[in-house]
Amino acid sequence: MKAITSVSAWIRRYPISIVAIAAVIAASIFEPTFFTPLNLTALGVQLSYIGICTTGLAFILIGGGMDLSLGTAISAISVISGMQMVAMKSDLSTPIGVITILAAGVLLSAVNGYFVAYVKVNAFMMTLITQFLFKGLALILTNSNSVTGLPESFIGLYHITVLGVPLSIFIMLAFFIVGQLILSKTSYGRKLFAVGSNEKAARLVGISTNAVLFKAFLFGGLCNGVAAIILIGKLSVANPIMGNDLFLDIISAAVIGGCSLFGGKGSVIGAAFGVLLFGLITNALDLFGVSYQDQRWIKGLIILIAIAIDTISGMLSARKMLKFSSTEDKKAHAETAKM
Amino acid sequence: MKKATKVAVSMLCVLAIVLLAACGAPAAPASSSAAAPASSAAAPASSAAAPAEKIKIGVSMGASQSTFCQGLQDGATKKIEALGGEYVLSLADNDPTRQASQIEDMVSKGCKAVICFAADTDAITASAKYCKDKGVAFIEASRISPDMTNIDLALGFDNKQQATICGEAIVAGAKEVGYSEIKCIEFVGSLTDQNAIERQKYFEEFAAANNIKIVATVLTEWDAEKAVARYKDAITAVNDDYNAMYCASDFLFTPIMSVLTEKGQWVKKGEQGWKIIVGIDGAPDALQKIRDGYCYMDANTDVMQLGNAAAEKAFDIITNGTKYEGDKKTVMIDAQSITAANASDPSIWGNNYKA
Repeated sequence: MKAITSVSAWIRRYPISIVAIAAVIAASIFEPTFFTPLNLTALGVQLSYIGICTTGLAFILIGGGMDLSLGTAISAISVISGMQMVAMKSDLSTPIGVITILAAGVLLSAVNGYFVAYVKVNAFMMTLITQFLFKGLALILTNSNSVTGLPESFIGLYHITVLGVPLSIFIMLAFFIVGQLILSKTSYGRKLFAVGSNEKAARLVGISTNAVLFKAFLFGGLCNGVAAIILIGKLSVANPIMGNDLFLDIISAAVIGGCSLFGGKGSVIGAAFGVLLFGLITNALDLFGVSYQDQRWIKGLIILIAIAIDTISGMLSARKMLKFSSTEDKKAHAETAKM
Repeated sequence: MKKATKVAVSMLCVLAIVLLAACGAPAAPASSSAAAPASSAAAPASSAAAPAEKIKIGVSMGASQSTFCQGLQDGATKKIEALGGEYVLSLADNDPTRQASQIEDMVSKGCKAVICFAADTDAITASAKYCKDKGVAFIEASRISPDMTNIDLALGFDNKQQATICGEAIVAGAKEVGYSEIKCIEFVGSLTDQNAIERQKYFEEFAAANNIKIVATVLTEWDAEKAVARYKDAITAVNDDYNAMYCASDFLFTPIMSVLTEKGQWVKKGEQGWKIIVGIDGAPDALQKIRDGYCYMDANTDVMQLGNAAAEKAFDIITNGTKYEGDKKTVMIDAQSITAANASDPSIWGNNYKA
């Protein structure tokens, strides 16, 4: 991809960034407590686990996949790791707990990835099924109780700050940067877009489409694992439903940020601004005192508009391509007739 | 596509700004700030004198679906307004992660205290610590955490007393109608709620000591739909051979009614096949079922009084700097037994509450 050399090019590439900046300005004007260190820090941490998961989901969406189960997967891997740490009760509980949660995240996502990429089960259906499986797994393992008594050192990871800023915010930024670099600078990134745009064509030119999509799911699982570590630190317990309601916020951020539900389109930078915008909306609505019931329909409306824009853009794009092809065909036909 | 994108971006931009601006308008429904001018002039006398700048108190409801929760919420918010304060209300819909984020936002908004009905009594201790680190008082209402380290005050109901009242009522009811053997289905709440855990524990202890045989346990997760489905399964499992039911909350009376009505078994005391149904809370619709003779007893928990007390204590902590230590950190409000004899008593909160 070409480097962005001007502001206008940036706006064309990431229009959502303007909306996010406008939302920050609006929130700062209308709610005096918004632009305070306390609120910005709290907001940043609230966005951190959403942002990390959105990075992973962006990869999956760009590759033409879907993962409805990521929220319940976070719940399941949290309690698995939590139970393991409580059972171990040793100085190594925390490092092993971290490895367990990351490995469990990758493993659960690998299940989805295998069936979607290799067995060719529809991604929506597959991850809908695993959404229920993971939810049930978390509840059965814990008998619906929270896992308490986690090592202080594990919970302490959440409270680490760098220059006064929570570490989780830096980790989220690192995921954004690394994710965008992978998508834009590596051959894997190009292949992922190709697979998401047109899997058949990608296969015909020699891309291992199954492996490309499978790897996207693995990366998504890794992101879920990191997000789960942050969430456990936030709540100080591993709760069997702690991640179940996150999916809507994550998919909303990804779609608002430009990731297409039909694959082949999107970016981690766009998704990052989507995370910022969606998080801002939630934070601002809370600060403004908007009731929870009203927040739900407002957020739903925003998601609906974002999906509508995505769908309309796709339709207009396809129509333009058809028109272009038709024009080219006529030109070619006319020239042939002259000859 | 460029033009479509520009149009779309503009629409989204305008929508976002308009929404945020509109939400910032004075009539924000979940906060009392819209009523500021009238209420601040008429602040009634109380132990906490209303200061020039309104005290802001957060009311964080982990759940809000039942009349019990509504009563607690109304009790707290109305008292805060009556004392000349301003409340910030949030509803977490049983999501502990959301509740934690909402409490952080309350602190950002300048709340001096948070009254909390926890979605998860273990997970909420992290939010209590967050508030303590920021100098914000944290008061638990009804659902009390086992770990009180960072909690300034907890107000609740004596679960052991409630469970015992229920057990005694089942025994009395069986004697009254001549049941020689008591076979009871136990309805349990959510296992992330300390109240539900204790109510189950103390009832089972009473049952074991008083010849109440628990033939099935229904885990409801405080969800009516789950209660109906699992109750039906329990009936099948025990071959419909039971004659009593213990409900950890009387909101379960309605799901029970729907199942028994379907089976033609929703009958009044004295009729063939009547089951001894007891519960906890004292909500309006439960009282009506007792008056009508379908249900036998309810352990009254004056949730409006609890909400009022939480608000008063919050003001006390903020304005007078009162500290509660040791046993004084937990204040228990007594329950009372409600049967057909006293179900119309006007002093019962369920007879005064209007949603």
